[in-house]
Order: sequence, then C-alpha cells, then structure tokens
Amino acid sequence: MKLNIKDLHVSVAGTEILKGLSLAVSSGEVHAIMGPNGSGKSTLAHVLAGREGYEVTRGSISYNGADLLDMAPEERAWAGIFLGFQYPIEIPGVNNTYFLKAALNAKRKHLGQPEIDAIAFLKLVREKSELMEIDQKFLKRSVNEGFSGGEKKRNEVFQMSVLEPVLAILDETDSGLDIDALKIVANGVNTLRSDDRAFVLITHYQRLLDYIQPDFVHVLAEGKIVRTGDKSLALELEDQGYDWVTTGT
Amino acid sequence: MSTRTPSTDFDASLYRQASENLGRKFPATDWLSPLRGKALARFSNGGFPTIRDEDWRYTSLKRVARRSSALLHPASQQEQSAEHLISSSDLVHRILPGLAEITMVFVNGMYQPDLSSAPAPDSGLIISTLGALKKEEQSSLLARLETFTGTDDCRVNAFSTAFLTDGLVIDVLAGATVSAPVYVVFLNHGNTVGSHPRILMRLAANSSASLVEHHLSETDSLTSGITQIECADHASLTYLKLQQEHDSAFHLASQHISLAKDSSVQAINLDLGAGLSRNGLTVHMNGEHAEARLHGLFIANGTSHIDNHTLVEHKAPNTQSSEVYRGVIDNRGRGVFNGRIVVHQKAQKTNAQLTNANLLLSPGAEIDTKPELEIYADDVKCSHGSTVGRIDNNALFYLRARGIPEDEAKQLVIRAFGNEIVMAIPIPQLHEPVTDLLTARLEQSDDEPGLSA
Repeated sequence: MKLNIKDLHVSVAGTEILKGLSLAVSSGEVHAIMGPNGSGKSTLAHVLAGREGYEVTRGSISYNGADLLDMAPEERAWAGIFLGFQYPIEIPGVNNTYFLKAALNAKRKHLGQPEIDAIAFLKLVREKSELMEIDQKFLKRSVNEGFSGGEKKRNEVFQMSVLEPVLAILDETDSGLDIDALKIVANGVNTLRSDDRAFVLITHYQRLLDYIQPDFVHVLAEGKIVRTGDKSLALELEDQGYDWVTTGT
Repeated sequence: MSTRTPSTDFDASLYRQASENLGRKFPATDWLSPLRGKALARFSNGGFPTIRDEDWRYTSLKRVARRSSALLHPASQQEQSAEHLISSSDLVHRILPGLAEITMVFVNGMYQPDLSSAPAPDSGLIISTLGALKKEEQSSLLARLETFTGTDDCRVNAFSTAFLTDGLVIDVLAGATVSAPVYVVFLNHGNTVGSHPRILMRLAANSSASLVEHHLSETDSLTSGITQIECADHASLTYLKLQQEHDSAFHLASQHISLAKDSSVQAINLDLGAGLSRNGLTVHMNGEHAEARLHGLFIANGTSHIDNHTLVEHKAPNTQSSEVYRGVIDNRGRGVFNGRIVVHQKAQKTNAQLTNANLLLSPGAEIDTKPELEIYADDVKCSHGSTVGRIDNNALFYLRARGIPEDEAKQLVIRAFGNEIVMAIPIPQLHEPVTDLLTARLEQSDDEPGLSA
C-alpha cells in the first residue's frame, strides 16, 4: 500500500483549510499527526475518506497509484481505507450487527467473493468484540444510538478490526476516553498492526502514543506539515506545547 | 331534508339501484336492507365529501366518485363461491405467516368459510359474520351498525353502510386472554370490485385480545370499510391494520375505538399500498386511566396518495395517549397527516403526545402535515409536533465510508426509519414478515426511474 499526498490544498465553504500538505504513507507504518485545534487534522481525515463539502483546489492524492479523489467513499472502503470517526454517527433503526455484515458483504461483493457465511460471521464478530471488550448486547442495538462517547469510539475500532483495512485513519479516536478505554482502543490497534497495513493516527494529545508506538510523528499547523520526526517529537510537544514548532513557520 | 351541493358526477339513482339490488343478491343479509336504505339517504344528501370540506381539503375523492358507481355491482353470493374466486394455495402467499390459528377471510366483501379457520369453542372468543346471525341477534346490532353514519361529516361511513353486504362481529368474553390474534383478511379479487367490510368488536371487562386487519386487492377496486371496537373496563386491545391495496385501488377506512376505565389499546396503521387511501382513526377515551398508544407508517411512492386523519378525544381524567406516525414519500407520491388531540374540560391530568415525522425522497413528493391540539382542561401535559426532512447526509456518509454503496445506504436509512414503527407491533412474529413487506414496498420506488428525479 502506498498513499502519496502532494501539495494538497482544500477549502471548506470558501475558506482554505489545508494549504499545501504533503505526506507519504506505506504499508507497515504508523504515522501520528498532531496539531493544535483548527490546524486541519479532521479536514485531512475527511478528504481521505471522501466526504462531500471539501473542495480540493490544488495538489493530488494517489493511493496505490490510483487517483483517490476520483473514488466514491464506498470505493475507497472497498480499496481498504477505513476512517475512524471523531464523532461516530447514530443511525436509529439500523442494527449494529446487520450494519457490519452489510459493510463486510459489500466489500466481498466488490472483490467478487461470496457473502460471508453466517457462522463464520458470528465467530468473527464474537472474537473481535471480545478483543474490544464490547458487550454482546451492544451488537443488537442500533448503530451508535444511545452509546456513550467511549462506547462509540470502541465501536469504531471494533468495526475496523472486523473490516481489516489496509489503511486506517483514526480521527481523534482517543479524545474523550478514560484511561481504561484508551488502553482497549490502543490494544485494538496494536493487535491489528502488521507489515501489510498502515495507520494514520490523528490526535491532539501525546498520551495515545504512550500506548501505540508511532514510526513517524508529524506536526500539522495552519494547513501544512511543519515538522516530522520520530516518537520523541511527540514528547517534546508534550513538554513545550505547539508554540515551539509553529513559531517561525 | 336539507340540501347541499352534490359533488360533481353525482348521480343518486345509480347508487340507489345498486344498493337496492343487494337485498336480492345477498339474501343472508337482507335484514340489512332498511339500514342500507337509511344510510343511502344520508349519503345521497351531498355524496362524497369534497375538498371544500375542511377534513378533506388535501384529499379529493373526485376520482373515487367518478369510478364508484362502476364498482358497486358485486357478483351475487352464489357467483362468489370460493372456487370461482381464489384457492387457499393462492392466498397463502399473500397473507401474513404465523397467524393461522384464527383466520377470517373475506373475498370481495363476502365471508369465505372454506378459506377461514374459526376459533376453538373454548378460546374466549365468539365470532360471527353478519350473514350467519340469528334473527334475534340481528336487531340488537342494527343500532351499532348505524352509529357512525349519522352526522354530516360521516358521509363516507354512510356510503360504506349503504353497500354493506357482510362483516364480522367479534366478542371477547369477560376475563378472557386470547393470545392468538384474530386475523381478518379482506381481499378484493378480480376486476372492478367494491367491498364495504365491517368489523364490530367488543372486549368485555378484564379481557385482552389482538386484531389484525389486512386489506389486499388485485386491481382498481374500491374498499370502504368501518371498524368499530369497544373496550370495557380493564380490557386490553392490540390492533394492527395493514393496507396493501393495488396501486390503482381506492381505500377508505374509518376506525373507531372507544376505551372505558383502565382499558388500553395499542394500534398500528400501516399503509403500504393503494392509489388513494384515507384512514380516519378516532379514539374515544371515555373512562379514567384509559391509555392509547398509536403508531402509523405510510409509504406513498409512485403516484399514490395516502391520508391519515387521527382524532384522540380525551373525555375522562387521567387518560394517556401517545401517537407516532411516520411517512415516507417518494416519486410523485403525496402524504397527508392530520393528527388532532382534543382534551375535554373534565379530562384533567391528561397526558397526550403526538409526533409525525416524514421523509421526502424526491422533488415531486409532497406532504401536508398538521398536528392539532385543542385543550379545554387546565391541568394537562400535551405536546405535538411534525417534521419533514430528507435523508441525513451524515448517516449516508458514515455507511458509505464503511463500504455500503450509496443506493443501498439510502435504502438502509429509509427502511430503518420505517422499521422503527414495524418494531412497535406488539405481535413479535410479525416483525420479520412485515419488515419484508416494507422492504418490498420501498424497492418499488426504484422500479420507477421515470418518476424519481
């Protein structure tokens, strides 16, 4: 897997949010993108997943050599991209398990595979829900409806572990979590880490990186990446705040 | 006799002739002739309501008026023996599964014993058809059959009564708990048929029972039916009406439920068909601590027009009602919802809620929704509201980001919207089959690309 973002400029409702962002991600890597509020972190996540309302005015995103911007959100999902939402959406009346099965089967259909067999699906769901310490009764409820903030985030990582993406973008999945939930989420990510999968972790705080060791840490400020380093960069940010990297850019 | 401007195309002599013929064609219910005559006189004084009548402002019956005289000449009882009509193997594909224990089937308005299964003698139920009543039972029913035909706003009920040929009388005995639902199927079979079904149901004190009323048709038929249910003290009723008429059929329904002290009803109205459908549901909360929970779902796609008028009359203190209606309107469909709650002066401590939520799926779709509260008591808790919206784009994006294609994601969200009403049916074995009917109905929108924008 190779994701290549070059000189990306993105506007939302006429306001430029990303102003020349470049980033390359390959299989096996874990990238952390950190930055102050309003720096464009979530915009990047949404553009990668294909949300409407984000206008790319300049630059390109290639994914395994294809133009990602030409792909519909579902096509990106079929190609292995997963976005863990900062604010997961509640969908009343759609059962969690049904939803997950529909998602899994849509991808299988696209790949020319038969629908997943019911027993295999239940086994997969049981295994992954145990990993994420998700109560079976949540699976019977409507997607995210009435879930607490922490439950929604765990549900995102649970979905990720069932769908087994090639590129997972987690948008502030750590925010609003207590330390136990954070450990569960980190464990979910760490279990999925492999040589043929990459992660982009978008986070405001360093603390997630105590549990997930990133290969690269990028600092996003005012719409571009202003600093790249290894995990020690995150610790420096924790000590000195974002002013230290953003001044003089 | 006072006069009013008759609606266009109204020719009273056609109706008179058709009504008078019924006594000869259906000798078993000849005893209804005087009732039919009276009802016809009331109907003839004005004919069908027009859009000048406030209650019918958004639903024109012009098309019904124009077609109705052609739909008033049913085949006689002999001609309608079941073998000419439909076999039970044909029927089985169209009726709901899981309700076989008590099934009463009417084809073109006539009861079909061969297709039905009556309740066991010890079931706590007494069911009879109008055609099978003993002479001494007939006279006591006449007043009940006439109840809702008298006032000026009931001309559709008078119409239905003027052409009444058969119906069902259901009595639930005091203290009986009848677990098997009474499943009543009204099928209009073949071309140009009109049927005027009637259900009279009574739940005696401390009893509980369920009624499922299912309307089916095959072509441009007309159904105008009346369902009257009375719950005595502490009685508990579950009532589902499922309307699945043909796309060119007219369906006019009038439902009256009265609740005595401590009695309760859960009623669900599902409109999944018809070219033109109108449900008038009135709940009379006559006794203290009566409780009504009402749900409704209507899918108006293609060019169908579905109108739900509900009226909840809180007439006694400490009564509770809640009402949730949802509409899905697609293509050039049109929905009408009018939900009225009246809290009478002595109905203190009333708790009443009403919501109507609608999904509009295409630019040609239309909904007229009007929740109304009329309160004459001063210590009450009431709320009402309606919404009209489109599919939530955030939900769509979430589903698509998980790999569910856009069309499928839309279907999923729409189906979920409707399914919350289906899941409110207190008869669990119906959840899956009714969900399937809902899905099939929603998929019909896809079949009409010419109509969607």
